[in-house]
Amino acid sequence: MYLLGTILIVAAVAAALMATVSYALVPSGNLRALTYGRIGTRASLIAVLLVVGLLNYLFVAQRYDIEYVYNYSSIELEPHFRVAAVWAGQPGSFVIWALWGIVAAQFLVRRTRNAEPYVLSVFMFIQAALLVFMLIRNPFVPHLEGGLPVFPADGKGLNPTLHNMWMLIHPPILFIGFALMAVPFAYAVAGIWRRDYDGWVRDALPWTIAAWSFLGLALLLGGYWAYETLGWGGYWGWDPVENSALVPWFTATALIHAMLAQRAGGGLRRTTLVLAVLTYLLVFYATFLTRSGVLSSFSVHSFVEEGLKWIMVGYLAFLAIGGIVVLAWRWRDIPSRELSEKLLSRDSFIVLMIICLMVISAVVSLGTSMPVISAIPGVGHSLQGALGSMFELDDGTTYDPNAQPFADGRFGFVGSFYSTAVPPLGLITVMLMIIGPLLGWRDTNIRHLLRTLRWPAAAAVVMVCIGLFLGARDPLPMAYIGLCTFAFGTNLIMIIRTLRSGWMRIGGYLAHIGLMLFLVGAVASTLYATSEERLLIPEGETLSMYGYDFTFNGWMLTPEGRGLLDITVARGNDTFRATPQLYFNDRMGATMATPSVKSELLRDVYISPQEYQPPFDRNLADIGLGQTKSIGPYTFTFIGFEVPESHNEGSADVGAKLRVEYEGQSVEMTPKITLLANQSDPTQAIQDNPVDLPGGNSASLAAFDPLQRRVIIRVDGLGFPVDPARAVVVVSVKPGVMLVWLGVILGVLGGFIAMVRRTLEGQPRPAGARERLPRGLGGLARFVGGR
Amino acid sequence: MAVADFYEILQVHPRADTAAIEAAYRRLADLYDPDRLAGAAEELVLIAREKRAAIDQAYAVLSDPLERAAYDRQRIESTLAATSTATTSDARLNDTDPTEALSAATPADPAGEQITTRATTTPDADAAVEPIYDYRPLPPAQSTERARGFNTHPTLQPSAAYQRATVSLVAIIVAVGVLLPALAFGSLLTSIGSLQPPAATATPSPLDQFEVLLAQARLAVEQQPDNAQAWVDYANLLYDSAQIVREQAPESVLYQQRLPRWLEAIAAYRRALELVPDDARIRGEIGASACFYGIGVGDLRYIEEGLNELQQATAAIPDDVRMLLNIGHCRVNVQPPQIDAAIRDWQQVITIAPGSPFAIEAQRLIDEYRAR
Repeated sequence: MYLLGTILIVAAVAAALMATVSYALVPSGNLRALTYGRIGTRASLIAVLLVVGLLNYLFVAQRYDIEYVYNYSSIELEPHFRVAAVWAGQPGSFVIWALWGIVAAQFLVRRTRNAEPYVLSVFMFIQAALLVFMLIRNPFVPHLEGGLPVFPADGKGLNPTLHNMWMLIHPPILFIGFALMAVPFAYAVAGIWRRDYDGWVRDALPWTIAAWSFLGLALLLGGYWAYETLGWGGYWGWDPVENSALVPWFTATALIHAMLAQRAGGGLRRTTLVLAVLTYLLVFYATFLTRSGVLSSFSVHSFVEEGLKWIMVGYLAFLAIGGIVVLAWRWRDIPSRELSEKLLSRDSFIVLMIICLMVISAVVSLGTSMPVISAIPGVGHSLQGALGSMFELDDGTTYDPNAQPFADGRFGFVGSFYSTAVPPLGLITVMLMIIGPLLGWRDTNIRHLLRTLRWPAAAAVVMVCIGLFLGARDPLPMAYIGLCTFAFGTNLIMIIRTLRSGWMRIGGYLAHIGLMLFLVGAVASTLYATSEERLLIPEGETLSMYGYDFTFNGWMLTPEGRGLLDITVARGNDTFRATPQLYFNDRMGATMATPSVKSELLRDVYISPQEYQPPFDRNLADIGLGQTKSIGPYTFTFIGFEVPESHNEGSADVGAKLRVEYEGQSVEMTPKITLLANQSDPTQAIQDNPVDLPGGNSASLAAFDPLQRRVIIRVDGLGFPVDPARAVVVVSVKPGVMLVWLGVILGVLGGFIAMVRRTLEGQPRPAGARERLPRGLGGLARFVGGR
Repeated sequence: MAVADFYEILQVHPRADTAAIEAAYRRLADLYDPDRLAGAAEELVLIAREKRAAIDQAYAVLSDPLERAAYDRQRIESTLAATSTATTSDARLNDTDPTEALSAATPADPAGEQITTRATTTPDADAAVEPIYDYRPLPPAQSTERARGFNTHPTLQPSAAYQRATVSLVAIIVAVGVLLPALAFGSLLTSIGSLQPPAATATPSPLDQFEVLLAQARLAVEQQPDNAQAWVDYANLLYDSAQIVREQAPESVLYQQRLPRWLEAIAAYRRALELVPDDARIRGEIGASACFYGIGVGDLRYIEEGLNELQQATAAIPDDVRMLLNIGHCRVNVQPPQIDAAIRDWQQVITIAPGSPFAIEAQRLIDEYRAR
C-alpha cells in the first residue's frame, strides 16, 4: 500500500506538473502542447481520485498497519466517520484541498477560452505544490514499531472533539473555499501574462464569489461547531486559526467589490490584480500559520507538527516574490482609467470600503502574526513593553496554564485586542454600506438620494429607541444598532427596486442585509450576554437563574459510554430537557464537555457543564495507607492490611488494621471481610465482620483496594445524612445568537445568487446581443440542467 | 448575389432576435456615425455615409417583423438557386425547415461561410465547431486603453488549420522530462522523510544480527503470552544479542547499552519457567544471564544469585558444556574467586566434548586464569 499510494501521489504530482509545463509552452505558439496540458489536467484528476479512493479504502477496510489510519481511526468508529477521518490529519486535508482544486480545474479547461493555458498553468502548479506537501507527509507510511512494520489490531481512534457531524461538513467546505481562492489568483496572473487586463475580471468574478461564499459558509460552520459542540463559550474566539481564515475572507470581499468597480467603469485595474494576488497569499499564509506549528502555544486548536515548516516558508516566499515580480513585470503596461471624481458615487465608496477592509485585515493579521513577529530577536521585548500597557497579552500560558511563559519575548494577543480594535473600524464599513448601494456608478442625484434615505433613517431612529428602552446605553452598540438598521433599510429598498429586473440581481444587497443581521446579533450576543453564572444544583432540586428554572435529574450514561447531565430547563410552561455531556475520555486523558444550548429567536440559554459531584455518604471514609480521616467523633488511621498467612480451605479474611481515636482514647481494631468460596448464594459470598467502636457504634470495612492500598470504612449507628449528587454548570443567556446564524446564511445565500448571475453574464454571447438574465426560477433550472 | 445580405451588414446571425438586431444596429450606427468623422478626409466621410446608409436600410427591413419575414423568404430562395446551380439539388432540403437548412447546407455560399465562422462564438454552435483560439498574448497596451472594438478573444482562421496533436515525440519528451524529475524527487523525499525504511533493508552489523528476529519474537510473545516456547525463543534472542557483543566487544559502549538485555532475558526466562516449572536448562540460562549482568555492572549479588541458579541447574544436568562454561565465568567473579573450581568445570568441558568450540574456549580460559 505504501508503494502503491506513493506511486499514485507521485503520478498526481507528475500529471499536474505536466499540465503546468505543457500549458506554459502554449503562449509561445506551441499548439500541440495544449493537448498535453489537457491530458495532464485530466490525468491528475484520475490520480487524485485514486489517491483519495485508496485512502478511503484503507480507512474503511481498517488497515491499521498504515500509520495514518492507525493514528486517526479505530474499530468502534462509525463508517461515515471513517470516511471523515481521511481529513483528520495534515496529509488528508491537503489531498482534499488538492482534489477540489483539480475538480475546479476541469471546469476551468472549458470556461477559460483564450486564457486557458495561462490560467491552468498557474492553477495546476498550485495543485502540484499541495500534492507535494502531501507527499512529504505521506499518509501511506506503514506503522512501525521498533523499526518493524506491524499490524496492530486497533487504532488510536479519532480525537473525540472531531467525532461529530460537523467534522463531516466543515473541513470539506473550508477546503472548497481555499481551493477556489486559487482561481482568481490564477486568473490574475494569467491576465497579467496575457495582457488581458479587463477580460480576466469578467471570467474570474463568479469563481471569486463562489470562493467567498464557501469560505464564509465554512467560517459559519466552524463557529457553529465551536458554539454548539466544543463548548468554547462562543462562536468566535479571535483564535489565530479563525483569524487567519477570516483575513482572506475580508480581502476577498474587497476583491469582489474592486472587480465590480472595474467591470462597471474600468477603474481600479491594478488594485484588482494586487488584491487577487494578496488574497491567495493570505490563504496560504493562513495554512502556514496553522500547519507549521508556529502558533502551537497560542491557540485552542492544536497544530503542533513541525514537519512542513521550512518547505511551507519556502513556498510562501516563492508565491509572494513571484506575485510581486509578475505585477512589476507588466505594471507600466497596465492602462489606468480615471475613477469618478464625485464623492457620492459607487466608485468612491468602493475605494473607501476597500481601504477600510484593508485596515481591518491589517489589524487582524498583524495581531494574529504577533507570535511570529515577536519571535524575531530583539523585537519581542520592546513590542511587549509598548503593547502590554494597552492590551492584554498572552505569553504562552493562556491555553495551557502549566506551560512556561516564553522568555524570548514571544507573545500573542487574546480576544480583547481584536474586540477593542475591530468594532470601530467595522462601524465605518457599515456607514459606507448605508449610502453606497444607493449611488450610481459615476454620479448621483442628491435629492433622490435623500428622499430614499427617509424611511431607513426613521427605522434606525425607532430601533435606537427600542434599544434604549431595552436598556442599552453604551455608545458603540447603540451606534451599531442604529447604523445597521439604517443600512438594512437602504439595502432592502435596493432589493425591492432590483427585484423588478429579476431576482438574480439582488445577491449583493442580500449579502449586505445578512451582514447587518450578523453584526447586530454579534454585538448583542457579545456585549449583552449575561455574565456566566456558576450553578451548583443538587440532584432532584431546582435553582432559578435569569428567569429559567434548572432542575437536575441525575447523571446518565449514553449507550456510547458518554456521560451526560440530565437537566430540565423551564420558563413558565415551556420546558426543555438539556443534556450537556460530561465524561472522561481515556484516550485523550481529558474530561470532555459538550454544552447544551436552548435556542430561541431572540436569545440562547447556554449551559456549559463543569463538574459532576457524585453522591457523598458522610458515614464513609476513604483512607489511604498511613492516612488519617475522621467520621463524626472518630478518627481513623489506616495502618495496614491484615491477611492471615494460613487461610482455611474455601474462605479468606481481609482485615484493615486501624487505629481509632475517640474522646482522647486510642484503640487498635481490625474490621474484616470474609470471602467464602463455593457459596451457592452469591450474596453470602462476602461476609462483613464489623467491630464495635467505643461509644456504641460499629465500624466495618466497606471496600478495599489492595493495589492502591486504600480502604473504605463505614461507621454504622451515627446516622449521618447522605449528600445527594450535584451538577455544576455554568449558565448564561446570550441574546441575538440566532441573528448571527441567520445573517451569515443570508449573506452566503446572497453570494450564491450573485455567483449564478455572474456565471450567466460571463457566458459568451453572440455579437451585439444584450445580456439578459432569467427572471424566474426557470432560468435557474436551465442553468443547472443545461449546458 | 443580387440583394445585399442585411444580416451580414448588421453582423448578426440570421436567427438573431430583435433585441440582438437592435443592439447590433446601435453599435454599428454609432461606429459609422458621420458626425464622428468631422474634419476627416472627404473620402472617409463618404465611405462612412455609404456604410451608414446600408446599415440603416438593413435595420429598417430587419426591425419590422413583416418585412423581415418577406426578406427571409426571398433570401432563402436566392440561396437555394445559388446552391442548385452549383451542386445537384439536395433532396434533404425539401422536407426540412429552410432556415435550418441554410446554415447546414450552404458551404459554397460566401454568406453561409461567414455565418459558420462567426457562429463559433455563439453558445449554441459551440458543440458543433470548437473554435481555434489564438493563445498568444495580446499586444502590449502600453498604458493606453484598448481600442473600442478590441477583441480579447481572437481566434485563428480554420484555413490556417493545424492538425490535432497526436502522441508524438513532443509528448514523450514532455512526459519523460516531467515524470523523471518527479519520480526522482518523490523517491528522494520518501527516503529522507520522517519515516525510517524497514530495518530489514539496512545492512545490519554482525552485532545487530539478532535485532530483527528479536522484534518479531517480542511480537510473538505479546500475541501468545502463554506459549512457553515463544518466551524461551524470545529470551534466547535477548541472551544472544547481549552475548554476541560481550564476546566480541566487551569494553564497548554498545555492550553497556546492551546490559539491560540480560535483565530482560532473566524476566523472559522466568516467565517461561513459570509455564514450564523445573526446567533446569532454563534455570541455567537465568543463572548465566544473572552472572553476566552482575559482571557487567559489577554487582556481586547478581553473580551470587546466578551462581546459585547455575549450581542447581548443573546438579540436574551435569554434562551440559555451555552451562559448565558459564558457571566457570560465575565462579571466577564471585568474592572470593573460586578459580580452582572454575578450572575444574572447564576441564570437564574439555573431557565431555573434546575438540569442540566449547573445549577450545574452555582451554583458553584455563590458560588465562592459570597464568594469573
